[in-house]
Amino acid sequence: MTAMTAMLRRATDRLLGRGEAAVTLPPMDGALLPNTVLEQAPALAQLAKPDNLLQHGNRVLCSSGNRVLQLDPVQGTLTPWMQFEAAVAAMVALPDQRLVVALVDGQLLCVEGTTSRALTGLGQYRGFCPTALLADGDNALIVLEGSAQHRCTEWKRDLMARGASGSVWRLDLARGDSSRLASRLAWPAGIARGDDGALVVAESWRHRLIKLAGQRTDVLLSDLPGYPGRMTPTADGGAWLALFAPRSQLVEFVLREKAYRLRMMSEIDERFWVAPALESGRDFREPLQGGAIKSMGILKPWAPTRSCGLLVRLDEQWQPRFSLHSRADGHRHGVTSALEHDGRLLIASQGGHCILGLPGDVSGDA
Amino acid sequence: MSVQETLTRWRNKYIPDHVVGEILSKNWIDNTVPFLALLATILVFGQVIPDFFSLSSMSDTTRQLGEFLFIVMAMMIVMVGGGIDLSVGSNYALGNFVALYLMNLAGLPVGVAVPLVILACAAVGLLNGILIGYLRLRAFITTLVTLILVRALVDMLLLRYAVDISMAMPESALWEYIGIGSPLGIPFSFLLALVLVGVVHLFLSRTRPGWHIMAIGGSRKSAYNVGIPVRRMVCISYVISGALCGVAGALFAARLNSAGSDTGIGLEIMALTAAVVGGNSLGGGRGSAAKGLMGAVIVLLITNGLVRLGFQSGAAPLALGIILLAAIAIDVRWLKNRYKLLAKVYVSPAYLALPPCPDTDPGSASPYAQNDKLRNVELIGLGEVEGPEDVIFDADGHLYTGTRFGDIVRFRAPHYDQPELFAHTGGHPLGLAFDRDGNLLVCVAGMGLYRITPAGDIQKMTDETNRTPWSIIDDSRLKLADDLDVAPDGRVFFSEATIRYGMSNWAYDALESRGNGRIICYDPATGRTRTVLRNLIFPNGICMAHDGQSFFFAETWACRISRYWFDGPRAGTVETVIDDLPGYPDNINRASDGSYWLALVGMRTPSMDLALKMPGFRRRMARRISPQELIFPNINTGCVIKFDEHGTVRDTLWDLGGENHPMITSMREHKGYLYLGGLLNNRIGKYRLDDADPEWTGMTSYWGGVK
Repeated sequence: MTAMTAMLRRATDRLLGRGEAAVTLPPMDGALLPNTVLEQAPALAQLAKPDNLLQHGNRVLCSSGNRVLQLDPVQGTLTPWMQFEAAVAAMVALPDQRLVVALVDGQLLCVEGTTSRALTGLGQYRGFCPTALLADGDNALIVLEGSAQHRCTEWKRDLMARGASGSVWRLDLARGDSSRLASRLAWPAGIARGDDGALVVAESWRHRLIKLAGQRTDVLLSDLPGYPGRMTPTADGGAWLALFAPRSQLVEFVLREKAYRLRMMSEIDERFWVAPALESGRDFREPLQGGAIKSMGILKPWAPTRSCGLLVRLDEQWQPRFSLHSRADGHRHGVTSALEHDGRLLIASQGGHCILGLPGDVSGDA
Repeated sequence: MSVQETLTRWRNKYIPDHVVGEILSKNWIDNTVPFLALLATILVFGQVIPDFFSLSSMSDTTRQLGEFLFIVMAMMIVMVGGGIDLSVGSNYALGNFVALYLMNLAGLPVGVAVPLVILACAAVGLLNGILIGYLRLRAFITTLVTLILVRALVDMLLLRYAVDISMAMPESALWEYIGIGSPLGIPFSFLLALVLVGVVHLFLSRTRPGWHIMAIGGSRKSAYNVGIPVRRMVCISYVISGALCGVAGALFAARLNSAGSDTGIGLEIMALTAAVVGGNSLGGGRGSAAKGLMGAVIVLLITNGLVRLGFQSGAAPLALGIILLAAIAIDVRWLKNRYKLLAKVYVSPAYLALPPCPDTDPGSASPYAQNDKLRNVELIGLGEVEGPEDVIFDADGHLYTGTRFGDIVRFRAPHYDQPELFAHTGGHPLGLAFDRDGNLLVCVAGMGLYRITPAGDIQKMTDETNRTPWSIIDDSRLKLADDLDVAPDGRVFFSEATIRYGMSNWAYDALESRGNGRIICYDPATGRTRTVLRNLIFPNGICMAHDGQSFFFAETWACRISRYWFDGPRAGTVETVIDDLPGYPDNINRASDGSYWLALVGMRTPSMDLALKMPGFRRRMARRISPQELIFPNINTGCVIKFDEHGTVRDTLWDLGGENHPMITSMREHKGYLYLGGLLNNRIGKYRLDDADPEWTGMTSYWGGVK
């Protein structure tokens, strides 16, 4: 009987666009009120698709494709540091100055000095789609696997396929063992540790932050207006959370339209999908929405967009305090990581192909 | 093509779901609910009561209906003006008494007595009107008070005169005829009431006071702001109400000659129920005589029917109360949801499978390969013209363009540096063309086809065409005249992009991609306007071919160019010239080398092409998400191509960076340069053509040396 009513409810919801079929989005309000801080920030360095910023000793490293470069955080000069056989997906520095690098082909490499070796013999763990890394003591590592079906580079396909096969692993490097801490997550893409020691994971496709507490998962922050990715801790116990792409009514609607979604995925080049992106508006074959039509040569900042730049400052309770934006008419889109270094805030804008440098005490009111 | 897609195509071809929205957008749709209720009432009581339709039964019912209709009309007129008149019942009783007194006791002739009765009741109405209209008292409470006052007055008078009245009988054949006469077998009072319904209908729908009362009911404040004498009109509506009650009272007196004290008791509730059941809004502003008529019939049939079925005396008021409640509830829900429903169902996408999109990658062998030839265009009127959809040159080489403010702006040759106002049309001027005499012909969105003389005088050529047989929305008026061209004999052929949308919401037509547009011919010689081609998918640019017997036309959402012969051996035939453009074609114009320029206003996107094959997806999208979020053809990027009459593409001009001319809706060649306009641009571009005839102008191409 309840199954019947549930089915009926789903059918009427689908007909009338209610409940799960509704495509309403949380508003960009309060701490998420748009500004143009990212858009007006000075570009520290130009770099094709900068991704993961990392402090390694006194160095600041940044990944870009299969290269890792060293960034001078004052001058902005970039010097090549290391190159890998595949694009870098994530990096983390262990307390003993070793560096662990995850590649998009699933490999985990341990870098010491200028040599790197693959980490193998890690028990049940098989690297497939590592999206983020976190050091857990001297000899252990937390790895997020975004999906069991799609590689890191296929994140759009995983979203449009409504994937929920991600997992969280703890790797014990000393004993060569691994354990799975959580599974069936919808693209976990960012990880941090709370001040109580619990792990906090950004679950992108469900637009939320969850806390892993034993077998339980608690929702810390939900209904984000974008897809959350990397988190980096701040000096005062909060964190920077990068929302690498905005949600939109159209994408939410397409996610609920199975027939269209499947045909789109099989017939259309991924670049031209109705799907979020790290950068957009570069090719006229990309989808266009009514509000994004230029009038008198001007694209409105509130225009619907598939990409934007959005970095959110969370407090120690994991609640948003303020946020930094680059809107539809801007270019600093696809922010994938941020790093506090020496009183400065460094931001990698993958869609804007640049690294931004802001004063460390930046706030959202500009 | 898969089976499912074939089914989708057939379903969309043969089930006309756009009709639902069009019917809902009609004003008369308000009448459907009361009309169905009327049918149901007649059916039910016709079945339950034997000889319900017999002559005697009908005659009795219609005679009562005659008087009742006057009361309902009285109530309806006040309600339409945003008020309510509860005093109709006692006013009616007053009318009855005054009529009996004047006829039976005073012995006045009918011709004097009846006007006096009407005056007496109108005076009660005037009292209401002054209190409510001028002193701004609440209509409900004021008329409730007059209800009691007049009732008390009538009771006192009856106490004094009832016996005298019942003793006397007026000696008047006319009075008797009014009461029981039946010209053509129809009771006199009913006939009179039918005439009244006609008069009230004309009053409310065709006369100034009627419109004023409707406007006050619709929005009192707006009515005041536009200068309607609100207080006076409200007062007048109550006076009319009172006068109509007087007529009804006189009719009742003539019929029954009875001075009973229960006359008209509860009548206000019956009249109110009838008015509301008929669909007249309690809040005012919506109502009609027909609604009142339907409501009156329903209520009378039910009350009489219940009595004849042998229910107790309380049953009829009980039933009325329940019906009134239900009607008010339906009225509120309907009013609230009708436009919501309309907004949801009006957009009705069709199935459209475009041919594969040709390659546009830079460096590819495709004739459409991207380049940046348009990067270095000179700009004219940057920031001074907004929305130059089309550009054109007169015989002296001056440049004309329309703007979104409704102006036609002229830039003087040869520098084109200062814009000057040439004419103000009032709508958004779209397509432009010069006729043989040098008049500027212009398609104005929302208005129609206009002619502007060289002196700047604006004359209407046409704003309507023949209505399509069986079309539900009235498509005779031109809503979105788009582009035009002039045949050698002076006939003007112009396109109307869509008949379902206007300038403000034409973008929805892209979502539908149905054949909503047409091409129309206006003949200045006869002044006649006739639709030439129908069911075109957003017909846009029109350009006379060099042969003078045919023209090319672009169908924007269908991404194709066709040619239509209006003269010569192939007259009446249509031939597709290009059917697989990579973008959405807009205006077409002549080129100096005998070929044609075509503006692509936007480019196809794979996601939109796929959506066009899935109408259900687009329909749900239109319902679920806000207009700004809807998927749309990419009109942020455009280009210009040159094609010949065989459909071969000879040249393509792109602005790859898209800085100056992201969107191009028109281009005009003139003396070795190409001038570019864009509906959503704020500039005109000037591009040098290296291999073009530097002396060629459009005027000489069309009209030779004639000036």
